[in-house]
Amino acid sequence: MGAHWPLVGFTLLVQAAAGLLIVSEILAVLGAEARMRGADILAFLFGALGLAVSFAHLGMPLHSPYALFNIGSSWLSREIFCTSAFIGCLFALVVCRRVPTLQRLAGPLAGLAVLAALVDLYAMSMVYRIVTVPAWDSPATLLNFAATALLLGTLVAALFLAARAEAQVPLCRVGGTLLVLLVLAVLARAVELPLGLFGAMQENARGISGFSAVMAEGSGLYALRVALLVLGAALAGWCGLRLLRGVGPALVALGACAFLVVLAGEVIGRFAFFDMYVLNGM
Amino acid sequence: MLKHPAFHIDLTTCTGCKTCMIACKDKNDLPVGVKWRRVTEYTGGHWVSRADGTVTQDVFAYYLSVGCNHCEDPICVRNCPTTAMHKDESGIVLVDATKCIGCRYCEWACPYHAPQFDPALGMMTKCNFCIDYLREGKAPACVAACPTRSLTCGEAEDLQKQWGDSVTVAPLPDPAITRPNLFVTPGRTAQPAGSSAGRVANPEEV
Repeated sequence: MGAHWPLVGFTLLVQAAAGLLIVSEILAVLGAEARMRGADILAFLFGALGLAVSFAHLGMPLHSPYALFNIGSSWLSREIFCTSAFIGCLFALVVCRRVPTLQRLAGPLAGLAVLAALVDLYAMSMVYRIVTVPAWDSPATLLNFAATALLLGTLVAALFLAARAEAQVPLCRVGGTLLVLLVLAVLARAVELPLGLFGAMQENARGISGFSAVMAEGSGLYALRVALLVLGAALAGWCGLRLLRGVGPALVALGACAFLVVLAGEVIGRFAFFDMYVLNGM
Repeated sequence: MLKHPAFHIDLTTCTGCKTCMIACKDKNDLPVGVKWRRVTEYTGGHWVSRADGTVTQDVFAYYLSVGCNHCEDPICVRNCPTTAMHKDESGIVLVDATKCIGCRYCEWACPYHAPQFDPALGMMTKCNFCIDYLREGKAPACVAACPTRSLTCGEAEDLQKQWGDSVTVAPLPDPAITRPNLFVTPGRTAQPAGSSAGRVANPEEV
């Protein structure tokens, strides 16, 4: 299980960065710009840390510049390019928003960064669409990664919203949007979980399937992952409803707890995703 | 030097002795855990009731010696992000050690499990068809060592003329995925591709 930790870290951190950027930009457009200040920096830190962690997966990190040599046919090469472009856009956005002479570029750059985030999420999912790995070669993979981005992005953006109570925002519109995004993320996960397990049922010649591989790691752990998601989302939803009525200091702490509970579920779920790797072949 | 090399395995004569595996490991000084050629034992069978009330059995077992099949459309080459995994002018799939990042993406995808990660080197390694032997006009170590001559190699076109179109048997994957340069002569008990009648009986060896 532990062998895949660099990929677990990389995918979760970059997806959290993508989700945070997308959600915070949506909320900024809806009038919460003052409360979302700093979200771009955190998204950049998530993305940069994710990219750094990914190097631990490589046997020969010094050769990593060659990883961009096969963009024409390798989805892994495309993923590395897209992730680098996304983090590059985030860095440029962070700089432009803080240098007065460059601020006019911030708007177009924000749009470009959101587009790069969406393309990167798609490229990340396509890396795992390997015809010889039935558990991954399913639309559930894209849904899985999108749900992670939306879940983590929504919860971190909600923390920004709750923590900056002094800035006036149209709370009903912004909080309502956050709740809708949270519901969408939970629904995406609710569809992805059974869809992913269904795709993982195919046994190979060794009599192993992705499903059996995950259950071998512990069905209790998988159940815990679902329980953490339900608990964290319920707590976050309750905090969201309270947020619409006003913000108290306890709400921020509770929101942080909801984020940590959901994050723990996502970490277990991502390890389970990599445990589902079962080759359909020799 | 062969212009379009391919392997042939004759399941009617292979005894599963694994001399090919050992010859490959010996010739290439492969460390423990790195196996460029693997001999898979595929077994199955049941008790079968007969009309007279007695029972018999239909058990079967056969062996598949498989290394890299230097496929026409290798999924490892398609997926490799660095182009370290490449086909040379004769179609042999090789790893460029100056480019490989050791991401193991080729290993994830190859249905024959041909690319093998060497932790000491931090990169992928694989069967190179004993290209140095081929240049000297010699057979690869695995082919030369086979005591029953079940494993042979030659020009793909010549093997096709000699043995006819390759037959895919379980547990070989669908050849449409990579179009392997592998010709198989099935034995009497060979199961059709995709069959779930048997299981790999020696997973710890392959």
